[in-house]
Amino acid sequence: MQEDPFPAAERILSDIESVFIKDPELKEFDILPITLNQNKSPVHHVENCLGLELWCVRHVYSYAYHRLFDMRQQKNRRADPEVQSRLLIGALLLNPDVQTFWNMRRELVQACRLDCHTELRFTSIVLSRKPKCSEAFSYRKWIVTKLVTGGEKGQSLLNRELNVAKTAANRYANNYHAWQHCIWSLVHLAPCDMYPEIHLEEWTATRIWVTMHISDHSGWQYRQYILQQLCGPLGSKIPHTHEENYLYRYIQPLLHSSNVTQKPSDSDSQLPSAKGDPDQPFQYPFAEDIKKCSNMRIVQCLNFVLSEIDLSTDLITRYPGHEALWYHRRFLLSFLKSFIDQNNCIIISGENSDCRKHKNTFSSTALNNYDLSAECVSFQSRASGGSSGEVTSSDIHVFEIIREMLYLVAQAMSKHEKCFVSSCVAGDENQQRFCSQYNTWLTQVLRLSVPT
Amino acid sequence: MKQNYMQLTRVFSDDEAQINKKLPKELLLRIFSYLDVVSLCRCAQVSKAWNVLALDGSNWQRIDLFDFQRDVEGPVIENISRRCGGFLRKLSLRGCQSIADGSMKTFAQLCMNVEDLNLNGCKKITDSTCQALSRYCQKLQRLDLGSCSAITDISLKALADGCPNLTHLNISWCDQITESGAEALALGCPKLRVFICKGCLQLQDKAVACLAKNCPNLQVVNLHGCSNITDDAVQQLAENCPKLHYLCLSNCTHLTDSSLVLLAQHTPLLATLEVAGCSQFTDTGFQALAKACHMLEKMDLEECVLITDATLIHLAMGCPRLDKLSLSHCELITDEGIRHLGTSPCAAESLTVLELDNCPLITDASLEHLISCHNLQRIELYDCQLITRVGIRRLRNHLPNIKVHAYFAPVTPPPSAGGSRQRYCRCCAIL
Repeated sequence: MQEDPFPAAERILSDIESVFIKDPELKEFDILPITLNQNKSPVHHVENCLGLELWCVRHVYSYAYHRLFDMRQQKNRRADPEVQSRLLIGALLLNPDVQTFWNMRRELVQACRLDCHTELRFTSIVLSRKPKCSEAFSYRKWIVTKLVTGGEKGQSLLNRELNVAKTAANRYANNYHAWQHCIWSLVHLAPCDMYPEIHLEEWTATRIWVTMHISDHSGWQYRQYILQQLCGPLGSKIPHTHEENYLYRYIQPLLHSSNVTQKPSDSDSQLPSAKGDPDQPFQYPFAEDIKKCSNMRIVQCLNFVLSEIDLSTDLITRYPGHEALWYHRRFLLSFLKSFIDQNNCIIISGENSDCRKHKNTFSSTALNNYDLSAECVSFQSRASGGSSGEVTSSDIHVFEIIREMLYLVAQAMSKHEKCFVSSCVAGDENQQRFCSQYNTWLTQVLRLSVPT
Repeated sequence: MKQNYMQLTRVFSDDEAQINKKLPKELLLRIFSYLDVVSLCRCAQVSKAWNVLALDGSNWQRIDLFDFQRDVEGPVIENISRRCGGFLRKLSLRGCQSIADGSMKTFAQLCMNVEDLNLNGCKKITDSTCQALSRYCQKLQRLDLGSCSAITDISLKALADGCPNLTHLNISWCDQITESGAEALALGCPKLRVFICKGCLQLQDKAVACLAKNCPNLQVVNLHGCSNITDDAVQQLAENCPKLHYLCLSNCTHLTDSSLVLLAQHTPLLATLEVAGCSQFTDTGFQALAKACHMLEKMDLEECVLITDATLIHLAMGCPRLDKLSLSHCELITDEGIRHLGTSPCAAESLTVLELDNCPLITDASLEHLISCHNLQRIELYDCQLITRVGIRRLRNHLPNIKVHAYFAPVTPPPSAGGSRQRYCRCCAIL
């Protein structure tokens, strides 16, 4: 008779399961570094945290593993779902990288033997020990999709998903899977055209996070995704933050510093921030006209990008030698360039087709159609007040103003980047290397031309 | 090729096949009647003749669909009902969660002779199923409605009206059941022998008293977790049901020693008593019980925290048939109590399972005292921190087949988890 070498495994597994059932507030699981084996339960449950003593891990896992694979191999003899679930909890807590075990749980969920919300809780605890487990994240996605198709509201699930993923991101640097899960959750539970305010919230919230995790490529990537959404075709309903006048915050100072006032003191690396006096008269062309479109969406988008470039400048100078920051800057610059190019195209085509043909009968419906087809920027000018009925000639004029502004921004940006690079050349070895690479990239890939 | 195939089909065609020719239909049917559900369904696909034979209602008197629970939907039951009709005596749909009232009504109409019906865990079932059963299935003797949480008193009233032959009933976890349902049941089904109602929190003394008075044949009663009942309920059971041999009162926390004394006075046949979590019970109660109930075989005293060695001394003397004894979390038990148990008549003859987990005072000396228990197959020692590996090894030397359950890990390392998959088992590699 072959005797079970470690009968306590079953008991330990059922102890673990009962903790899950008894404590709905359970937060974490981890292995305690206790190697002394006494006749004492190795399962510890303190302050909503579950711990398992080290000495039993090998035995419990081995027991669960072999029993589960025995069950799997004799599939026709259906195993008791409760036993199976208990074994799976133990096996997955100790080693969540086995896809087969997750699939077995999926089967149980599909047979209505496990509750979806309990499963979400369970995976969050698995992630507390192994925050980089992609299988756990993909299982979560599966469950969430199942819940949403079952009629559950996406928004109520979203917060939990973002929280779980961000906790995992905090526990493990460069946690690609966690940030990818955030992106997935936004795409599937709160698309930007329906929940613009959530994206705006994420935009402000992650700003703090990335300044504390400057080397986290994946965190930056998430921010890049949000930026793309905010400035993309789905972002047209982003609420205006009225406290802040977009024009004055970043664009004007930029234009001001690099184009017109050519004082030597303004050519330093920092973007001039809002400290500039807003009432100061503009000296560059179209200054007064640009002022008119200060609340337009294109200005708002530019403001998002420029504020991020400002943040990047700040972080690169403060923390020299971090590659992630330089890569993020490359993204920002190329994004800005394509953004400007795209909008220029639209404006030119818009002028050619619509404006020229129906000069003075350029109706607001045409303008709206153009918004949709142009898939970039909504020119719904709030400054012109509702924009109902016929569009006045000054609105047509807006196109020209915007084009001019975009041109100015592009010029100013080129100049600004050159200044920035030259200010970073002095520094530690890594910083120098990244800086010269960045410079090469600017001229060769982005083909940035410095205005004379 | 084609010719061969033709021949083959001819051999197996209905009239030509040897077995069909040689045996009369009655004998074939008899053979089929020994097959299980899966085999019958396979046979039904062989030929037309076999299809008729395999699906003949007489083969389908007892059906257990537990193995197919996920796939069993309403139409399956309706088809089975049509096939089997009056032949069906026993049907188990345990865990078939998709089954709902509609198909069960069809079933009740078509299979009027059903005697044993198991609907445990069919959560969609409501009172109308029971009303249909009451209307058509008067021969029903055993009914399991465990975990059918939509069931209410209406069901019990219906069963009381239409199923007077009911002997076994399980309504565990049907927590909508109240006094009035139980009372109606007691009046309508006096033949009740087995009554199981775990976790029916609304049942109180009056319901139990009514059952006890009207159903004198009660032998098995399970009131696990019916936490509202008191000593009065046990008194009625004890005084009116002398045949009682299984009683579970676990987690009925209001009960006191007087329950045990009453059981001792009136139920000499009691063989199984489960009183886990009845924390008011003391040595006095168990002394009375041990002196009177000599037939006791299984006792679950988990978390009867007040009992001491004195209880063990009385059990050792009074209960020679004791086979399974659980003393988990009885923290006052010491080696002395185990010594008495070890030298008692029950130890040498019958004791097979002893649970001593979480008894902190037990030492290796207890294991020494148990050496004479030749039939002991399993002993639980989890969390007994004074027990050592040496003590367990010594016990194993005397009782080589015993299963000792403790937290001690085996000295030999476990077989590695899955050869080729080893690279996935990172935790074991790291640790």
